[in-house]
Amino acid sequence: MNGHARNMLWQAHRTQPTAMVLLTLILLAMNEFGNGTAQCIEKSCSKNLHKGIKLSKFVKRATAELIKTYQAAQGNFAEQFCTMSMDSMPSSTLWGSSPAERLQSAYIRLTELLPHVTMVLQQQSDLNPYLGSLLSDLARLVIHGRHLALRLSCILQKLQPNVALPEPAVGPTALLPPQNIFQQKVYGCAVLTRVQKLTLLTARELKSLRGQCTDKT
Amino acid sequence: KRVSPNLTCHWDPGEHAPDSNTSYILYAHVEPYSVVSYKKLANNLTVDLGSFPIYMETKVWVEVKNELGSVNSTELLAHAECFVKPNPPSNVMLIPEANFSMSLIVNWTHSFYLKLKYNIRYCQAGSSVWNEVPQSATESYIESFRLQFLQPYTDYVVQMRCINQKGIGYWSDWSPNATARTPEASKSLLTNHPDLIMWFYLSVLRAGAEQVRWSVRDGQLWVDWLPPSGSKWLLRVFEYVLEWVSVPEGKRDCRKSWPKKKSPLRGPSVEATETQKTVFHLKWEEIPVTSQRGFLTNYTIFYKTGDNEQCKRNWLSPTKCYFTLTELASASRYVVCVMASNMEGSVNGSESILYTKYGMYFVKCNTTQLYLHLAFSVIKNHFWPHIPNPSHSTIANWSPDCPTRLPDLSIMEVGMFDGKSLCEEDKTVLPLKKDKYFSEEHSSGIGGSSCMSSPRQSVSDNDEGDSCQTTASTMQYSSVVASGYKGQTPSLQAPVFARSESTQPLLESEEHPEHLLEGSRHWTSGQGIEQQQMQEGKSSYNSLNFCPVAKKKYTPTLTEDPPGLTPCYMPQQSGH
Repeated sequence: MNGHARNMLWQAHRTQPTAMVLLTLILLAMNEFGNGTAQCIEKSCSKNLHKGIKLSKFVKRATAELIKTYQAAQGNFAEQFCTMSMDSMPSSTLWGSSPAERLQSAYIRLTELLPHVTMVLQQQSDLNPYLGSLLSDLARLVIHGRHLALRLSCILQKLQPNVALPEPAVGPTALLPPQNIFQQKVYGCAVLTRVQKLTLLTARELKSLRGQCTDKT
Repeated sequence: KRVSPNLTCHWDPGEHAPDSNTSYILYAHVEPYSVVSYKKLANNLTVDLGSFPIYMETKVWVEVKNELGSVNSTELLAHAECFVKPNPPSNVMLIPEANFSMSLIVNWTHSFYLKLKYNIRYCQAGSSVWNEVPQSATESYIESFRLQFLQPYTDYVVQMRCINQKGIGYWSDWSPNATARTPEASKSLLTNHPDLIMWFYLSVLRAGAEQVRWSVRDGQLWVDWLPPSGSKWLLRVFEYVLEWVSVPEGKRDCRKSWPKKKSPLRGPSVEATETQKTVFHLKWEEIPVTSQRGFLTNYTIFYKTGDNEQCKRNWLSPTKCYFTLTELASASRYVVCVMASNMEGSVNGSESILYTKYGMYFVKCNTTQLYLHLAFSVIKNHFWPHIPNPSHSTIANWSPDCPTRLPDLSIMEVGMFDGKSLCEEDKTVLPLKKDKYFSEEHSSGIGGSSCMSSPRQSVSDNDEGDSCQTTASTMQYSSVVASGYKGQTPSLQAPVFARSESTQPLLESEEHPEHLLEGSRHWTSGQGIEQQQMQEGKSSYNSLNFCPVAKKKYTPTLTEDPPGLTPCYMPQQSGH
């Protein structure tokens, strides 16, 4: 049987550092999303919806645990970091009059926020490359976030086959002003908090779409 | 705990042995990226997916390449959970329990965020033959299980494995061995009497145990059985009850009475040790063992009264032969019977007729109240005689031909009444006192309800309403005089009397006619007395009018009609 492989990550037989593997995967995933060529293997709308609900809940729980890990790694005054807000990132609010429109806004928000999670991963890796589980968890969040975005796009393709998905913004993090360490710590917690809230709203919108898939598979 | 991001793929190289230049490439594709691993002359490869792609579709295949070309294996496409192989259950322990020589408890802890189902196998230490617990018994999300049918005082080894509860994915590896020894067998089941032939019959009550079997080994009796089939029982059965009957050698044939399980031969006869107003204390004899034909499981009591629906009390313990029925209807007839049941059937005993009692306490209380009431009335009337209320009088017409019944009237002769009740039919006619009346006259109970009817048996608190009481305190105050009665001709002009419907006794002033005469001119609303008027030779009768006369308390009098006063009595046409 013929197959195809894009964005292949070649792994040697020996074990590689986890963080390097994850970073590589993230770059590949981002590239793929940037091209808009990701495909939906699952063709059923209802199954996509079912998996999307589960995945959004999973990402929400994972983000909540990650915030605790992040705070624990920031040292003193970590609780105060997460109470401060920053404007240099997308909000987590949704817009639209119909569930499909709001789901589309969720997709856009997620694709806009995930590069900021990657930025947090890079900043934390620069601050302390031996943080271990925090970096791995941040990298996993990006991967699962990409999976969720893909799942949302597949659902929207089924619900609105004639509506083109908007292109995610190119390099929003490039517009970030330079930040000191304190600002980076605040920035990191603000990004994770918005991701957690966004995935909660996404799960609700997906649940409201349960009866709208017409296929029975 | 997370699922590992490492995906390992195994394959069979095929019929032809690969040469040294053959390489294998493992592809694992999770949209939108793929991870690839490469190795020469291998039959397995592992790729690091970075993170387990939960809830995402995963495609896996292997490419084989040598100098002549390449070929791909079949693609495995499924959700990522379908590629998961859990770790074995953790903390698996085998726990013996005191007094349970034939069982051990297996405990473990869930070690995965996915719901799993388990598989347990065990064997005696040193044996290579494993006994596997049916998977249906461990399908639930449980963390313990009891092994049974084990040998007492024996070492056992147990292992466990698990898989996704939906049955997708792969079984885990078997857990490391857990070892324990079963307790020593209890001596209570043993018999050390070789001279006695013991017959045992096992009954596991209500648990539905299966494949019950027993054997005798080395002077010891062994009994084993299987738990009820069906996983639902495992969550509800918490104990077994073992019962047996020993039969002396001479009664060996008793075994034949139970060649097969049968319903009892007969039911018990029930009797009441005590009956109350709403309660039966029931008792019945225990059915002889030979008639039980199996261990009794319960008694059921049926009871019914009248046409009501039959009631029952079931699942009574077979060890008790008594029961108390409550909330019954008082003063009622009940049909009661007891049904005995064993595992094979039921049989009713003979019916018994039982009666609940009346409210005796209430009757006694009322009787006491009656006595007190009567005594109080006698005392009261003696010291505080009742003064009649004139407002209770009415005018009525009375004709001797019409048996008009006048309420609450009674006639009683003064001096002859010694407290006897006039509620007697034979006292309706009483002779008049000669010094009071001009001729012999027959008095009759004019409409006196108590005298014309059977005596009352109830007690009333109303003095005036109770004719017996009233009767007990009244005096004769009227009489009916018939013209030509028995050929007698009144020598004197018949007095005129008025009559009222009042039952009130006469006032004392009525003893003096002059007083009464004056009083008669003035009608009062009180009770009047009955006056007699007899007209000689009167052929026509006027209706009797009640003439108002001042009422005398106890002494009846005859008065002359005042001049101009309308006669108030219509003499009888025929002799009375």
